[in-house]
Amino acid sequence: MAAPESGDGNNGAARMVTLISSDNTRFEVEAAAASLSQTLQLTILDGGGGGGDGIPLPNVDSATLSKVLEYCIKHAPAAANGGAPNATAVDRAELERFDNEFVNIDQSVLYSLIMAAHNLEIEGLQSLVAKKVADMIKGKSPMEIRRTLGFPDPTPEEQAEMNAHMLEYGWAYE
Amino acid sequence: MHANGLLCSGGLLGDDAAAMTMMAMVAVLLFLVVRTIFAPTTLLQQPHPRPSPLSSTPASTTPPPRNPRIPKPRRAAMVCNGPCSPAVDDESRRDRISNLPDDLLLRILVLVPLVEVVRTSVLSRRWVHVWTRLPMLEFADDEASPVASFANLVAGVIRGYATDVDMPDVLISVRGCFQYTLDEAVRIAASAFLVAQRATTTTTRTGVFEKLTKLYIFGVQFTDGGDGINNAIIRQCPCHQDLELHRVEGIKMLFLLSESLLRLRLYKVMDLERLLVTAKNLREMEVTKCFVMMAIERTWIWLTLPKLEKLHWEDCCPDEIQRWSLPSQIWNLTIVELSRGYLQYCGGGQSHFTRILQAFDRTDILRLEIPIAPVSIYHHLRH
Repeated sequence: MAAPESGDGNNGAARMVTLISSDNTRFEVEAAAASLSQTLQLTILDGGGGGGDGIPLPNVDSATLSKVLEYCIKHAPAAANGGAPNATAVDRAELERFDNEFVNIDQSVLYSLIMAAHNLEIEGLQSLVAKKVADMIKGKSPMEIRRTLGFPDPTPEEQAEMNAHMLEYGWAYE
Repeated sequence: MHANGLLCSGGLLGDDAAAMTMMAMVAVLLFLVVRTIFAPTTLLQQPHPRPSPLSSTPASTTPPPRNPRIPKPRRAAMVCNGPCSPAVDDESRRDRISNLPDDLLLRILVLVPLVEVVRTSVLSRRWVHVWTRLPMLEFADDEASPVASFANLVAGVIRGYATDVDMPDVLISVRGCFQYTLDEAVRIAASAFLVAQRATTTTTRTGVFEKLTKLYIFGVQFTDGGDGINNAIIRQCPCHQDLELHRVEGIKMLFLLSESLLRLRLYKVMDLERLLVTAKNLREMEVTKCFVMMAIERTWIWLTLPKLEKLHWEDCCPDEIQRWSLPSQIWNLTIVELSRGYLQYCGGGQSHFTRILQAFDRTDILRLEIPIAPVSIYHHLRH
């Protein structure tokens, strides 16, 4: 999918744009997919990103960008339909399956995705990753959250502070 | 600019003690006050304690290593929801979420039940204050079961909320999952007061909800016959524009005098006998299944609504209609006959709904809905 520049060969009429990651990798994608990003949409409407120019994205590295584009390409057709009127239940189920799979990633990637989705203003992706993290937090005690999110062990001072804090916040506990 | 609404649902006001009644009334009002309009975008516009790194720090470049030392391997660290890739090393498992700027953390935390969000404050120093800027506060006692006292929770959150942020939407939903003592109810009311004061700007007049524009009360049982709410609307809400009472009990008389009110919706205000509305700017009004059908006293409605444009009437007609000031022509008039089942349920009788038509001379759009029961059912009901 998000093939670097050379892998192209799409004869269809779909307009392509080139995005350049922070580490200078070029990605060529359909304008429709890239336009899921509010940030890019205007540039693309103005005719940017075509030809040899490319749109530089100094905030997004190639690994993250390829992941982001994977999402955009998958979601572009549904977005083009203005959401769903034509979408069949099968299509929706497929998208859902894709989404679930998509966020099964380790935390550093998740973090990069959150930042990228925010910077590029991709609404659907922002909600998806936020929900993923919320699910990691929900229904857990603070200790379990610390383990899930991989917090370092607190220093003794920090632990003491937290204990005091917990006393003060007694109303939020049993 | 500030649209503050207060949303309250649930019934809590069941004590007859006069003081309690008043207090409970206040509580309901407060709930409403708390709600400042929350648009998702405001999330990102909220003032920030520190400059958001978004613009300056490239997302993908290495985030500032908050915890430089390598975390020790953890037992049972794989509580991980998703199958982390097989070759998880410590690096990939290390906490990165804490490095997110506050506004992105908040976007995540609004999806987590409030009690649990508050508890994140003990995760680490980074998290102590994050929750205090939540863009939405939703208290529901049926979800808060793990806390010992719902009233204390409400009070604690309101007390702890950041003082430099406009109080966001606050929804306090009381479904009676706890047995509320008088004391608990009073304390919930007091918290709501506090919220209302915060939503109420600089003026020092107490008990005046300066910025309140929307009041929505759902499922509350009033014990004062309606005095409290009448009084509040008349005297304490100078900017109030929308009022909706939905499935409330205990209001026999509703006297609404307001210059600012634009929309009024009364839906199943179960015990209504007398309704007086004097609102010179009111444009839309709906009355659905409110009036008591077999009231002992005469029921009546007095209207002074010179700018009324739209009326939806789905109720039996009171015995007396006084039009002190109604436009002779309104734009949209909808009259819906009550279903036969409902009429039966109310003790039989007629709704006399057509009498409402006589209150107006002309209308641009008239919509009449009359349910027609199959003949067999009709006969069945008659005999």
